[in-house]
Formats: sequence, structure tokens, C-alpha cells
Amino acid sequence: MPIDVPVVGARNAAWIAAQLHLFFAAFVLGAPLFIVLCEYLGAAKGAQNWRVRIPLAVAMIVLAVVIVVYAERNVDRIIVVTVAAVAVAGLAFVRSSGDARYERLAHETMKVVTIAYSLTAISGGMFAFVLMGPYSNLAIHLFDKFSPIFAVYGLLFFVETILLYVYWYSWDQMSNRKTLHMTIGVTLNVVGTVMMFLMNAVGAYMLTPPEGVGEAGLWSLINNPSWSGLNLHRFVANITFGGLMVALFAAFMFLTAKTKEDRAFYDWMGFIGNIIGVATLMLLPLAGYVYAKELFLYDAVISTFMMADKLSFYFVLQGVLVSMLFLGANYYMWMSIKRITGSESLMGYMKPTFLVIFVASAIWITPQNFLSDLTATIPDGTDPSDILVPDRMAFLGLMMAKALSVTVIIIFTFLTYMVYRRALTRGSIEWGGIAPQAQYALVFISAVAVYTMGLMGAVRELARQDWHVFNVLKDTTPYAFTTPLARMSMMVGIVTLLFFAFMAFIFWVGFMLSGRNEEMA
Amino acid sequence: MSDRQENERPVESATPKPTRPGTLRGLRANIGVSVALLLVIWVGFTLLPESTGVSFGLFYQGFFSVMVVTGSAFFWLLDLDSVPHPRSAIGVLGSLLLVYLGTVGFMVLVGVAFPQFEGAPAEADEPQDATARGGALFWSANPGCFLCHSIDGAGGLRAPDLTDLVSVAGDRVAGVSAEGYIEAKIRQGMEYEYLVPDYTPMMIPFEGVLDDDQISDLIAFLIGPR
Repeated sequence: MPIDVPVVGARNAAWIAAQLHLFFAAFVLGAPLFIVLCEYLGAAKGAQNWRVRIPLAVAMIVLAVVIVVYAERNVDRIIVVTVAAVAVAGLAFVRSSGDARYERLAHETMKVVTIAYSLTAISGGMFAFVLMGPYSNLAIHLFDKFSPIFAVYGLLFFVETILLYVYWYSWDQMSNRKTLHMTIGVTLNVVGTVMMFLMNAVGAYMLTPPEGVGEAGLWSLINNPSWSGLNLHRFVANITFGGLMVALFAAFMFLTAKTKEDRAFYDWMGFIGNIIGVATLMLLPLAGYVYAKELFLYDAVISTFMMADKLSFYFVLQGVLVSMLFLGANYYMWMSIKRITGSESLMGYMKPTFLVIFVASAIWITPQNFLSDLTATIPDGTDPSDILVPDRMAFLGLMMAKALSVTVIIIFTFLTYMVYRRALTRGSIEWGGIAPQAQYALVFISAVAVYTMGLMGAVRELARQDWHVFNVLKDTTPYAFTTPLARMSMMVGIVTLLFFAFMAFIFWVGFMLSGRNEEMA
Repeated sequence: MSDRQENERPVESATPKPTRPGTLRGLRANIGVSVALLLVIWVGFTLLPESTGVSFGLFYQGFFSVMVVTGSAFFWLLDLDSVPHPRSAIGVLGSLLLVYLGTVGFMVLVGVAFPQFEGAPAEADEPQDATARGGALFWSANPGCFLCHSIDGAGGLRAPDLTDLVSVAGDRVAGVSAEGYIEAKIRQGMEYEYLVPDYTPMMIPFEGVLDDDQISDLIAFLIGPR
């Protein structure tokens, strides 16, 4: 290879820069989606203004119908109908509550987003430098194919930056012009989402380039077979990520809060962040299934490599991580139930619920065998029964058992929420009275979520095997090998630690340092 | 008094009083259940005859034991009423760091310690008979036909049983013989015009993966007699 990165190596450098960039990008794109919603919810309670809502809903439905008629794939139709249904439901039922806590949540989260935005750009720049140096042949190929996209991306980056700073710095000045301020926020989200879709096109192209790639037009390159699946999965995952980062921030602030009011607020904020994160987390297996099916239909070699061959143990680890996420989220929810007055009688359901979730998790992560890949043979001197699942228990290793386990976990998580609702009918919430370990659960959930995102990012990249662009551009560097599970887990661990170190820095700068300065002033 | 000063009241009333972590009774119960489950795993499974088909081997026993111990620790955590609230900023930072590093460390440990096996490639003498060569190929890890298909009760369950393939293969596509059907199916996989009902189409096309001789050997084995 022409240039290598000293000490860490080009591949590790690209890995760290790319994942750090994606973590920050997920946060700065995901969080504003519900920041604007929270700003609206916190605005003064007013009429539902059907004269605006009905035309908007009609426009949404018409747009959805047009896309459904002209869409090339069923997956696109399903995504558009789902998004339109959610939007129309939102227009029909969501209304501002006048609860000032939503306004504060939106404001404080936006402060974090504004600082994180700089780090997103820095990590993106680092990633671009690594691509342009050691992986210059790939960079040239991508610029050759997608130059108009990169030009539009650069332009939108300016627009996004201007909108973000206007939205943040005009918050107080526009307190009497909320409609205009929220319109800026909505525009910010639209531009951010379009930017994400553009870069998703490049990432998706690397794994699923369209047929006849040499002659393919720009739209064929963008609308490649896994673009829609990746868009859907990332869009939902960004909201999950943003919600869980808000919960992490709230946990940090709760534990350092000096007043009763602050503690009550950050208890509430952690709860809302967790609800947003978990509600969207439950949609992710479905979005992941849609994405994986697109990959499968494109080339079964990719799916076999992922699910049955060298990456199959990555999916066992994914099972461990998602199980941990659900266990953590349910634990937090039960701690939330516990602080509701009169909920004692409902706490008896806690252990049976966890027993079911734990057993389902155990089934999910039980491997079919302990062989490293499809071509691995049983080592000499090893009894096959030690590392192969027994015949009558073979169903434990099949997709049917795994899918049922995930379904059970999701159903019981939903039931836990139902118990929470039931508890609310019996008593009231004592905000600020939650046990401290619930805040540690939020830290735990956030750490697992970031790690899971890193793991699945690695799976997506490694699925290309020794290709930069699958079946089009070969990776000829010495790093073109499939990373073993142990090495991958260490790499993702390092990136996760770095990300949290930066997030701690952001919280410190945004709320500790500036708070102290305000006091001094 | 300013709003800020007014808000900065002590917060002790909102903080749950720290209690002793877990009850001794709960801990004993957890240990009792764990020991019982470990006995089932390490003694019960060993006593089961292999013919039952439910006797788990060494690494599965180890795997389930880790699950039991982890589960026991988790259920003990559920018994905790409340842990002490850190009193200083350093205490908060230290406790957050501990939880965070513990979580990431655990995930890295799972990835590093998860057992995986890979033996040396088999170097057996190549059988001279096409049926025998096809059989060896079918039961080998590469291409690993047996991982999804079964014959005479052995093999995977996610794809059709091929024991009596010869009796149905000739009837599946009009005008295509049993040999022709099997060959087309191997070469084209799920892209072939006929898909077996009740099974998810997932077999990759083996055209280009296996050479013509290997495909002929596999057909000879699948047609039989074996």
C-alpha cells in the first residue's frame, strides 16, 4: 500500500475515525428530531389548529401515494407508508402541553448537540484524511462515481451548520416566535436527514453496487439495492441513540445535581430519554430484518458469510448485547415503577418478568456449535458432542428459536411498560426519588448501545470481505482480512471508550465549566 | 433571595435512604437455585444417555454455567433496595467510570473469551468412486451441505431432507429429469425456478463455487444408491 498510518495501522485508523464520526453523527442527527418535538410539546398549550394540520396530513398522504405508485421496490413502499402513517398520527394526536420541562429538555440537549457538532466535523475530517492517504484508490473510485453527491453534501453541510447555529443561538430571542423557531428546527432536521441519506448511498453502494456499475447512472448508484434498508435502519437507530445519550446526560446530571428541583428534572429527563430510546429500540429488529433481507436478495453470499460463516459469532455477540440492552431497559423501568407511590403490590411481577426475559436471552445466544466458521473442522482430540449442539436440541440454534426469543423479550418489555401504566393509575410519581442504581442502569444501557452500534458497523463493513466495493474494487492492502471476534471486540471497546471520554468532555464544558463561569459572572 | 439561591436547597428529603445491599435471605435463595441448576448442568446432563439426543457436551455445560452465574448475580442485583448516593463530585465520577468501564470491559471479555474451534483441514485419501467422493463432499465442512440438509436423520434442519430426493426430484419441474433437477438446483440455488414449499429460499448458487466434477460427484451421491 502507498501510505500506512504509523503505530496503529491504516485500517485501525480508518476504523476508529469512521466509527467515532458515526457515533457523533448519529447523536447530532438523531437528537434534534426529538428536540424539536420536545420544544413543541413544551410550548404553550393551544388549540390544535386543524386548518394547518388537515392540509399537512392531506399533503403527506398525497406524497406517500405518489411515491408508492412510482417506487421501484416493495421495501420502499412499506417504508413510505409507515412513515406517512406515523406522521399523520402525529398530526392527529400530538399537541403542545405547556409543560416547561420539555422546553428545558430540548434546550439542554441542544446545547450538548451544538458542542458535539464540532467533534462530528473533526472526526469526519480525520476519516476523510485516512481515506485520501492509505486508501486513495478507494477515495478516487468513490469521487469518480459520486462527485455530484459530494458537492451537494458539502453545500448542505454549510446549510446545516448555519441552521444549527441559528436554531441554537436564537432560542431565547425567539421565545415569543416559537412557530418560526420550530420551523428552523424542522428544516434543520430535513437537511440533516437528506445529508445522512446521501452518505448512506455511498456506504450502501460499497456493499451492494448495482448491476453494470460501469455504465450505471448516478440515480442507480444512489438507489442501490441496500440504500432503503440502510436509510430506514440508521434513521430509527439514530433516534434510539439520541434518546439513550439524553438518558446518559440526565444520569450524569442527576448524580451531580445540587438541588431538589434539578434532581427531579433530571430524573424525569432520564425517563423520557430512556422511553424514546427503548420505544425505537423495539423497532430496530424489524428494520434490521428489512435491511438484511435486502442484502440477502442482492447476493446470498453476503448473508451466508454474515449469518453462517465467519461473522456468525458476531451475531451471537449481538444477541448478548441486545439482551443486555433489554435487561438494562427493563431494570430501569422497574426502578421507575418502584418510585410510584402505591406500586408495592406490582413489584411481585418483577422477578418473573426478568426470569422470562433471561431465559429467552439464553436461548437467543446459544450457538449451534462452537466452530469458528463454515469450513472449520473439529480439532483432533475434541469430542464432537462437546462443541456441537445435541441432535434433539438442534432447534436452539435455528433462526426460528432466535426470532421467537426476541419476540418474547419485546413482548415482556412492553408488558413492563403496561405495569408502569397500571402503577400510575394507583399512585403518583415522586420525581427525584428514584434509586441511584437506576442512573447507573442508564449509563450501562448507553454503553451497551454504543458498543452494539460499533459491532454492527463492523459487521456491515466486514461483510464486503476483501473488497472495498463488493465484486468491483478489490482491497489489495495487507489489512484485507476478516477480523477475528476477539480483535473486533477490542477495537469496538477502544472506540466506545474514546466516544464516552469525548462525551464526558462535552458535558463538562457545557454544564460544569460554563455553569461555573456563569456563577463567577 | 434569588431564584437560584431558592433552588439550591438541600436535597436529602428526595434521596432514598441507603440500605444494606440485598438481603441475606435473597442471597441464600439465589445461591441455592444456582447450585441446583449447576448440578443439573454438570451431573444431570452427564447421566443422560447420549441416545436421548439432549445431552449437552463440555462447552455447552460451560456456556450454561456462565449464564447461571450471571443470572444469579443479576437476580441478586434485583434484590438491592438502594445503593448509596455518591457524596462528592469525585465519587460520582468514580462510580460512573466504574460502571462504564465494567460494562465495556465485560463486553470485550465476552468477545475475547468466547470459545471457537478450528481443526487442521482433513487430508484423507480421495475416494475413487463418484458416490463416495460426493458423500465425502456432502459431509465435509466445505461446502457444508449437511449443515442445512439432512440424510437418514443426520444433518441440519433448515433445508429439506434429501434422504428420498431421488423419488421426488424427477417430478418437480415438468420435462426435467431427477439428475437435471439436482444439477440445476446445485448450480442455481435459490435462483432456480422451483423452490421447495415451507422452506426459506436461502441456498446460494454453487456455480463457480464447486467445479463440474464435484457437482457430478454430489449428484451421484444424492441419486444413490448410497
